[in-house]
Amino acid sequence: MKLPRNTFCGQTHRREFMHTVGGGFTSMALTGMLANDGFFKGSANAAGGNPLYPKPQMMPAKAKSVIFLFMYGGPSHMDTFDHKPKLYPLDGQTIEVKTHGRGGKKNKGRVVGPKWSFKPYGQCGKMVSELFPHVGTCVDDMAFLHSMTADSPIHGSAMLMMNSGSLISGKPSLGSWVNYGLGSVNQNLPGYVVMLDHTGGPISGAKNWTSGYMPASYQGTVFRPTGDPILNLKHSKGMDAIEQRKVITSLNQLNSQHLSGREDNSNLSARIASYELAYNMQSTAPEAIDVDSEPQHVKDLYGLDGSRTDDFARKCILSRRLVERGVRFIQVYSGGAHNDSNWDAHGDLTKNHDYHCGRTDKPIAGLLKDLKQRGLLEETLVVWGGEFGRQPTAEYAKGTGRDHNALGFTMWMAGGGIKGGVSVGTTDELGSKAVENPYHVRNLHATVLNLMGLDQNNLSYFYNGLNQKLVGVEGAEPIYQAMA
Amino acid sequence: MMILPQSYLFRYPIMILGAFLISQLFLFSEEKTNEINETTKNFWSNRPLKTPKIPKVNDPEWQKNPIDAFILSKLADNGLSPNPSASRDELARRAYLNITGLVPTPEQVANFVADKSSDAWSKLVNQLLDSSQYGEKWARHWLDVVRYAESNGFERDSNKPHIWRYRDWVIDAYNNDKPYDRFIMEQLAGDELDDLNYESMIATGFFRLMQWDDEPVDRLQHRYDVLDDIVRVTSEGFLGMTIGCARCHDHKIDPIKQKDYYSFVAFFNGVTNNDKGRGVIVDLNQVGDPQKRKEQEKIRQDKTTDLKNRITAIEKIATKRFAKLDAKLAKELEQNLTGLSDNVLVANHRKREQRWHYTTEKPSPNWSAVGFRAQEAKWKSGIAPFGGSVPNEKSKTPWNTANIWLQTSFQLTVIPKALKMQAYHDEDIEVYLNGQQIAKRIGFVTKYIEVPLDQKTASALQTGRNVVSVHVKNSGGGQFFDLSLEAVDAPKVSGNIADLIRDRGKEIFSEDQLSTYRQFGNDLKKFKAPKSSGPMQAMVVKEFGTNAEQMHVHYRGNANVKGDPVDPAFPPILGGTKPTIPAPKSGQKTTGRRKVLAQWITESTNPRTSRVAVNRVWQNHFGKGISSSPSDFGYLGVEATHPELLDWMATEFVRRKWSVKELQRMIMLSKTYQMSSRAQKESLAKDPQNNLVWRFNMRRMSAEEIRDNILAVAGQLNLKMGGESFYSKLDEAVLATSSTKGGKWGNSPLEEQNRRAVYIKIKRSLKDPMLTGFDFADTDAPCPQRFTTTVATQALNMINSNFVNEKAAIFAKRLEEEVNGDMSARIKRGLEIVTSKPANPKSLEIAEQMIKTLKDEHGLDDQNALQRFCLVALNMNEFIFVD
Repeated sequence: MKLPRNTFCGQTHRREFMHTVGGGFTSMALTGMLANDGFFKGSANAAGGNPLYPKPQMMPAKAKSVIFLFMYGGPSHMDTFDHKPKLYPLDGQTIEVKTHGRGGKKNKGRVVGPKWSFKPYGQCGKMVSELFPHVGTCVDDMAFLHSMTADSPIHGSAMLMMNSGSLISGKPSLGSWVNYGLGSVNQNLPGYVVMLDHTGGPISGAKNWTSGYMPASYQGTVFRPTGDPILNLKHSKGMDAIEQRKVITSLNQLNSQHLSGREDNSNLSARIASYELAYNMQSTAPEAIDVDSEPQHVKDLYGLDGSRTDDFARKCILSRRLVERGVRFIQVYSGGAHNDSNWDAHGDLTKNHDYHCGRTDKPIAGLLKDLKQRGLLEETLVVWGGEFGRQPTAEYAKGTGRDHNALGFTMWMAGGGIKGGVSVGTTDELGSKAVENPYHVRNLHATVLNLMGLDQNNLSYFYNGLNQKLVGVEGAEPIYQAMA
Repeated sequence: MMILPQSYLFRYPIMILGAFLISQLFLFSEEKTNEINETTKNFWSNRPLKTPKIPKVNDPEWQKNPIDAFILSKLADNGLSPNPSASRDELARRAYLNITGLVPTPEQVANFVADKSSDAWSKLVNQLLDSSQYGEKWARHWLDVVRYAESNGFERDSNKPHIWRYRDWVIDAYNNDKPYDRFIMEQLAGDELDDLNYESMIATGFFRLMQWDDEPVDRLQHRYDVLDDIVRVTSEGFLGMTIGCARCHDHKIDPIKQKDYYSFVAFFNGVTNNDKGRGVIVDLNQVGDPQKRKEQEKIRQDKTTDLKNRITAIEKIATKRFAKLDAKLAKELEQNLTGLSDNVLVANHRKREQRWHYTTEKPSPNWSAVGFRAQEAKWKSGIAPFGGSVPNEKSKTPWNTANIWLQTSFQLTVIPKALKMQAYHDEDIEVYLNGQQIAKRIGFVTKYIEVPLDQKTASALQTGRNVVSVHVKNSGGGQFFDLSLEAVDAPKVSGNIADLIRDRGKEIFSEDQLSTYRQFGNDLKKFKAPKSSGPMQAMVVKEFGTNAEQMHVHYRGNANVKGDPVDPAFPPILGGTKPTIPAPKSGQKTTGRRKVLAQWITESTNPRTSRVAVNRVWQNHFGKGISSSPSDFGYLGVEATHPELLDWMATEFVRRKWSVKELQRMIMLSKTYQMSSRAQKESLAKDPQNNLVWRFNMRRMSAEEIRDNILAVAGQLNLKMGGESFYSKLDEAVLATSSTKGGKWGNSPLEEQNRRAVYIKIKRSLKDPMLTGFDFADTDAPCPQRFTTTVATQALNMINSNFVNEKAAIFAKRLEEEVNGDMSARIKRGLEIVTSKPANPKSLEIAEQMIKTLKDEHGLDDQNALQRFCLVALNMNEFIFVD
C-alpha cells in the first residue's frame, strides 16, 4: 500500500481534483448540471463535472460580481483623481525627478502642469478633476487607491500584468480565476464577459482574457453590445429557430442512438446536452443585450442619448444587465488599438483626456448610481483603472504628452465590500512615485478575489509542478484600508 | 510506534488500524523526497533502466506480444479481464485517425474488413505508418510540447520569419522515422554536430519558438525569462523533470537544488538573445564547410543511386516470383500505369530528370499538332529546366532568346481520371496535349505554381504514346521554363510492385528479406534532396562565441542579484557525471555546451529520456500515458500504473535504435491496442478510470482533426504538404479583437485554406476559434496533454459558424454529384462517409424523417434539405468521437 503521490500536501480538494484526474484527459462534462435539471436522470456519470458549475465559496463573500472598467493606455492620475497642487506652478520647468517609461529611465524632465482644475466633492470632500464631474458626485461610495504600482511601464507586459499578474503571457486572467474558483450561476450566458472598444482590442488581443494553462472554458467571451453579441450565436443563413429546433432534435435522436452501449461515457451525453445549452443561449443572450428596451430615465442617467457618451453608456447598461443575470466577471475596455485611440497620451494630453473622459464620465457615474438605487452596488465590485499611470513630466521636448508611469498611479474601487469615501496611499508631491502605503497589482488582485469569497493565497491550480496562484507563490494581502 | 489506550483500540479498531498503517508508512518512508538518498534514487523514474522479466500469463494469445503479457498480468492480479477485440470497422477507423488524423473512406474500411488474411492488420498498420499524413498528425503532438507558434507575442506580436521550416522538420522527422536520439541531438545542438547539415540547422529553431518581448521592462530579467523557458521545455520535454520549479529556491518536493537549476541554465548561457531578423536567421546554403557540403551532396547522390539500384534489384526478383505464383498477377504487373510508382508523367527537375526536344527557331505551323515529331524535325535535345538563372532555381539547359518551343512524350497503359500541372514559366506559356491546348498563361512567375487545366484535359489522353508540346515567349529579363504533369486519382494499379511487396511480400520473401527491403525504402527517404523553395533561410540558434558569461545562482530568481558562480552540470539525481566541455576547435562559433548536454540526454543509460519518450507515444495511442503526467515524472507527477511495461518498452526502444515507428508498430500490433472501447459492467465498477487498461479509451477528435475531417468529408481537403503557413478565414468579429486593424491577418487562396490544420498560421495574439474552441494547445507554455472540454460555444460553432455551414453545403453538393438517384441514396452515402462504414438503418430512418419534415413542414427544397442533413451529419457524435 502506498499513499497517493499526486495530492497536494496530502489533501485533494474539489478545485484541484478536476486537474488531478484531468491532466487533459477527463472531460469537463456538463452532465452534472443537466442531471440536476432532470435532463439525464440516471444516466449521468458522477465523474463528469461541469467546469462552470457553481462552486461553494472558500469564505464569506462581499461581492457576487465584478465589473472591471479598464482604461487601456494608462490614464493620467494627476489630471484626474490624484490632486497635485504643487505641480501646477512648475509647468515648463525642468526638474530632477526619476522616471521610467517608454522613453527609458531618466533623472530629470520638463514638468507638464496638470491641465484641469480640481474641486471637492461629496461628504468626504474628495478632490476630483473637472474631467470627471459626474463621477465626482459618487465619491462617497468610492475608495481611491493612489499608491498603485506595477512591474512594467510598457504596454505589452503591463497589460498582461494587470490582467493576469505576470509580465509574460500564458497565465490565466483575473476573470478566469474568478470563474475557476466560483463557477457561473447562469449557464445560459458566459461567466466571464469582455467588451472591447469600437476601435479594436488592446495590445495582445485575446491574451488579455485568456485562461492560460487552465481549460479554455474559463477564458473570457467577447460580447458585442449590438447585433450578434457572441460569435456564432446567430442562426446560419436561411435557418429560423423552428427549423433549427428540428435540426437539433434530429441530431439528438442520432446521438442518443449512438449513445446506446456507450452510456458510461459522460462526454457523449455532455455533448448532447451542449446543444440544448447552445439553443437556450441563442434566446437568452440577445435578450440580455437588449439595452434599447431600458426606460428613458435609465438611458438618460447613463448618457445613452446619441452623444459622445452613447457607446460607453450602452456597455455600462449592458454590464448592469449581465450582473443582474448572474455573470461573474465583466471587463469593459475604454480605448483600443494604438496611440490616441486609447488613453496613451504621449502627444496632446488635453485632447486625449478630454476625449476619453468625456466619453466615459457620465456612463460610469450612471452605472454606480443605477447599481446603488437597485441595491446591486453592495454585491457588485466595480474597479476602475489602466495598466499604469503617467509621469509628471513630458516625454518629448514639446507638447503636453506624458510618458508611462508604473511607479505610482491611481485606481479606484466601489461597491461590494468597499469602504466609501476613502483615499488609500499617496504618491509624492509630483505624482512620480508611490510613497505612502504602496500597493502592487497583486494586492489589487488579492482584494478582488477576497471580496468574491476566494482565499487568494489558497486558490491554486496545479500546473508545471507547482500550485500556481494568481497572486504568485508567495501570496499577497488584500488592500484592507479600502475594505469595509 | 504509536501507543494507544486499549479502550480506543477496542472501540474503533478499523479506524485505528488505518491510522496505524498510515503512520507506519510515514515511519518507513521518512527519507525526504527533495534530497538525494536511497529512496529518491530508487524512485520508479530515477532508478537505472533494466529490462524487466516478461510475466507469464494464462492466455497464449496474450503471451506473444510482451506488451499484452504485462497488461494481462496486472489485470489478472486485480481480478479483471481484458475486453474482447473491437470490431473490424472500429479498428480501421481507430487506426486511420490515430495515425493519420484523417477518417478513412467507407471503401478503405470495407477493404480492410474484407481482407481475411492473417496479417491484414499489420499490413494496414504499416501502410498508415508509411503515409505522409502520419507525420502531419504526430508532429503536432511534439509541437504542443515545444509550445510552437509563429509570432513573438507582446505589443507588436511580430512574425518569426521562416520558423515554419522547424514545423516541417518535425513532420519530416516523424515521416522518415528519424531516430529519437538524433531527433534530440539536432534540436539541442544541430549547429554543433560534426555532420551538421541544413536539416540539423533548421532543427535548432527549437531555441526560438517561445514568446519574446522586444521591449522588456528589464532586459536582463527578460533574458533570464527566455532562458527559463528553454530550461523548462528541455527538461520537461525530454526528461519529464520540472527543473524550472527550482528557479527561485530549492525544489520543495523533488531532489533538485536551486544550484542544479542554474547549472542547467549554464548549458544555454551562450545562446544569443532573440531577434526579429538577421541575428537569428541563417542562409541554409551556407551551412557547414563548403567542401564538406560538396562531399555530403556527393555521398547523398551516391547513396541514393545505390539504394535505388538495390531496391530495383529486389523488385525485379519479386516481379518474377509473383509472376510464378499467380498468372493473373503477372499480367497486372505488366499493365503498370506509367512504369513508375509516383504517377509523374512529365517531371520537373525536382521530381526526376526530364528530357525535352526544343528549338528556338520558329517551327512549322503544325508544331503542336498530332503527328508532329520534334526529333524528326531535328530539334535539339536538353534537360529541363531551360533558361538562365532566376530566383531560387538554376536551369540545366541554357535558353536566352525571345521564344522556345518544346516537345516531350510519355507512355500510358491506363487512362487516369484527371491531371495536375505545375510550372515555373518566365514568361507566357501555351501547353498542348496530343494537339489539344490544355493551358495558356500570360506573364511570369517566380516559383513553381499550380497551373489550372482545362476541364477536358483528361479526354485528350490516350493509351500508348502521349505528346506534350509547349511554347514559351519571353519579352525581356531572365528566361525560365520547367513543367510537371501528374496523374491524379489514377486507377489503382494492382501491378505496383512496391504495394504488392508490402501487402503480399510474405508469400515470396522471408521476414528478414522484407525487413531489408523496407529498410532500403526508409533510408532512401532520409537521403532526399533539400527543399529549395524560397530563399533558403531559417530561424536558428546562435551563440555569442566559444565563451559564455559565467553563470551564477540568482537569489529568488532575480536576474540582478548574483549568488555563487556555477558551471554547466547535469541534474545529480539522474546520475550525471561532471560534464567536460571540449576545448573549442578552430573555426568553432559556439561553446559546445549544448552538444554535451544533448549527448548526456541521449545516452542509453539516462533513466528518464527513453521512459519519457515511450510514455508520450503510449499516451498518444491510448489517450492516457502509463504515467498520466507526461512532463513530470517527479514526486508531484502521477506514478506509472505499469512501471515494468514502461521499462520494458523503454529498453526495447533503445535497443531498436530509438525508432519511434518500430515502437508504434509494436504497440499497435498488441491485442491491448485492439481491444474494444465498450464498458463491461464489472470492470467499470472495479476500475472506472481504466488505469489498468482493460479497454481501449474512446476519445473525441482533436481540434485539428475536426477541421481536417470536415474538409475531408466535404471532399475538399488539400493534402499539399509543407511550406509557409496559411491564413484561415476568420470572422470580422474575431479580427476586431486585435489591436491592429484586421489583426495583420492575411488572406490565403481558398485552395490553401483547405490544407490541413497543422499548416494554419499560429499567431500568439490572434488564433482561429475553430482551433481554440476545441482545446488547441496554449502556445505560451509546454502543453503535454490537451484538455477535452465540452461547452455550449462549441455547439454554437458547429451549427452556426460560416465554416461548418459552408462545408455542409459542399458536402451536400458532393453527394448530389456522386450519387445518382433519390434522396434516400444520397443520405445513405452521406452517413457512410461520416461514419466510414455501411449506414445504420436506424440512423437512415431518423435522417429520412428529418428531411421529410423539413420539406413538408418547413417548405425546404431537396437541395436545402440535403444541406441540413449534411450539417447534422457533421455534428454527429459518431463522427466526432473515435471508438
